[in-house]
Amino acid sequence: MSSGFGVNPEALEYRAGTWRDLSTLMSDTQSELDSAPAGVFPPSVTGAARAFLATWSAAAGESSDMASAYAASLSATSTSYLASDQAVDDAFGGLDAHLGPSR
Amino acid sequence: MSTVTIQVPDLPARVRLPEGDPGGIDDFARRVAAAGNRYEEFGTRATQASQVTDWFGDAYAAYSDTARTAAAEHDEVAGTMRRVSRMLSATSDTLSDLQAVARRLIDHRADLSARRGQLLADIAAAQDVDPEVIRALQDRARSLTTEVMTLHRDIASLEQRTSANEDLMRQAFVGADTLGEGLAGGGGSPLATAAMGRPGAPGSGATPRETAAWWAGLSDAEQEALIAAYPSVIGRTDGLPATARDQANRAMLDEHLARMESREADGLLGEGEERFLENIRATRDALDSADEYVDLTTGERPGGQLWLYDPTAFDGDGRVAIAVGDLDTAEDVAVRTPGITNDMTKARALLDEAANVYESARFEGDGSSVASMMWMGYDAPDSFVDHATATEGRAAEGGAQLADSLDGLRAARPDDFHLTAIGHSYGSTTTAYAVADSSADVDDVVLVGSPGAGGDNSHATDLGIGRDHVWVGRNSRDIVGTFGDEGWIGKGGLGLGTDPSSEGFDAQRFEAEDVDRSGWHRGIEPHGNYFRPDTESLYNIGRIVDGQGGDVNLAEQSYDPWYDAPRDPEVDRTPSGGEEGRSLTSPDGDEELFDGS
Repeated sequence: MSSGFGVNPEALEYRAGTWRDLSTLMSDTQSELDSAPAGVFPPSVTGAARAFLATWSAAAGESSDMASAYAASLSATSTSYLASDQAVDDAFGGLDAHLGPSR
Repeated sequence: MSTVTIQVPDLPARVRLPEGDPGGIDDFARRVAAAGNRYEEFGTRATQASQVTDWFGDAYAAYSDTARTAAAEHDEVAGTMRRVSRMLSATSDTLSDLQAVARRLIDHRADLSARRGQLLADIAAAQDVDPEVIRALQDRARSLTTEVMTLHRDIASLEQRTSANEDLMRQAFVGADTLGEGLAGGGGSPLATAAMGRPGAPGSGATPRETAAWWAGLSDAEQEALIAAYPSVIGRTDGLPATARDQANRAMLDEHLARMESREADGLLGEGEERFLENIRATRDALDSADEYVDLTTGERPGGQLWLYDPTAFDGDGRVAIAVGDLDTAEDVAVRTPGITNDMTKARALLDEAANVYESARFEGDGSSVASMMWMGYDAPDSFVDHATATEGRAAEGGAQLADSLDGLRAARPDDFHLTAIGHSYGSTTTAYAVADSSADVDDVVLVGSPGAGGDNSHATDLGIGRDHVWVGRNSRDIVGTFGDEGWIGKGGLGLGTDPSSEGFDAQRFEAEDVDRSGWHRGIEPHGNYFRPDTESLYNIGRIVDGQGGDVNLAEQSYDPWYDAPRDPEVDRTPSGGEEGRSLTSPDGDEELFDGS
């Protein structure tokens, strides 16, 4: 456990936007690799070219998914921090801090 | 009637055109490079995203750690993609060359087939002919046999090279077709890795001669694999052929340009990267100029070579050397070192001056082939007020680097050739250091606009190549040329050692005056005119580079009488411009500019 923590939920949302952009970038990369024609190579090379494309197209898709997951986690974290803050706010707001008749 | 047998050779069944589409492979390589750029962008932006303002604590630490890991892995894959792309580009070029060879062989086979058919027909028609006709038919058959055997050998060589090239293509993919290989920074070639482990390889402590021998012992496929897998090493290693260095450096240049322009378009250029991009673009511009240069004497393009390319060296000033002509085969080679204020961004202007030297050496030369290179391979002082300008430290360091380059040029070639080192301004001091303090094997040295020959070089013989091979050009109106010491008083350390145009230094001073000089004024402007077309200086430099020192127009040396100020006899001579045999340097001399007025 650290000695404490602090957060600006808006900053988390901002970074979530960056990850969403990266997800799109890698999904475009996957499409680009999918459309690369392996038939331009000599027949003895075509198989190796196809295997290469398959590996890296799948990897680009994985990167895209990874970036989406980061975006979603950051957004969820932001929401969670806000919800927690609100819950604590509500809890303390519900406490009666007065003495005597006004209590 | 007797029968004579004439053996007519059979032709090879056919010549196979190597399969594959070089243009399509180039396009494929560009897509892979683009994917690499995107992986790099992912790495850069994920690194940025790993830091979140005002967030701290355990949750932040966990997030940041994993985001940085993702960034690093994507950077690694980017490197792999680029290596694969380079290897594919190289093999695509080779495939294109092999297809051209195959087409020539197909045409040649068709020609031989026609001649064979004609010979068979002539033999069939030969009845009761005299011995002379028979001998003629036998001669034709023998000649045909020789050519057919050569064709067989050429076809075998073509098939062997085609097979090796296809192996290289497969290796490019096989070395990077799993995620593990991509993340391991692989994507190189086992061929290249094995070759780098042999004695004489770069980085093994080998001399340039040993490295040249190592390279010569490699197969074509191994050489291509090395250029693709280790372009930055091959592009800068002394002792390797200029064609190999050029190919490696061009691959780096293309890759850098594509990557940085993409980052610029995305607004991602970081600190120092704008200068990096400026250096890359300056190199591209200069290299294009070298490639497009037309030899005015022959109307042909000698082509350019990117001999040295390092856009991040010297805190961003960069290092670059570009030649007009073929450094591997030219009979006369010139290497010009510039002075202060020059860096990689000045590549185009320096290249254009190197082209002027090329042209002057070819025009009215002895017909020998020429290569002329601008060498910006040292950290020249930045300005006139830079402390380094008034001291010789950079010249001494640069001299050692220049000496290594000159040694490398020599070592890369098995033949003898005429090598001239040209230094201008502070670069003349650098050049004098290179020649005097090292084993640099140059035939002639030219120092122009020199502030001094540096170090302990008080006499032309101190450069160690013979007084008659040390040439000096000093425009009497060039103020920098007057900084060097002469006479018994000297100039109190104003310059950088002895004035090489002086009587005391006793080099071969040549005419280097300008027709457009004005009055008696000494200034900085004439300092930049030594390589201008149709000037006395460029004419004489051309003769020296061409190895025709006897045709150089000599000038009287300056001197410093004990009773008076230094004197320069050239001050009073009427200069020439565009005059045949004195200052005409190209077939299209600009008479308007140099009309003597």
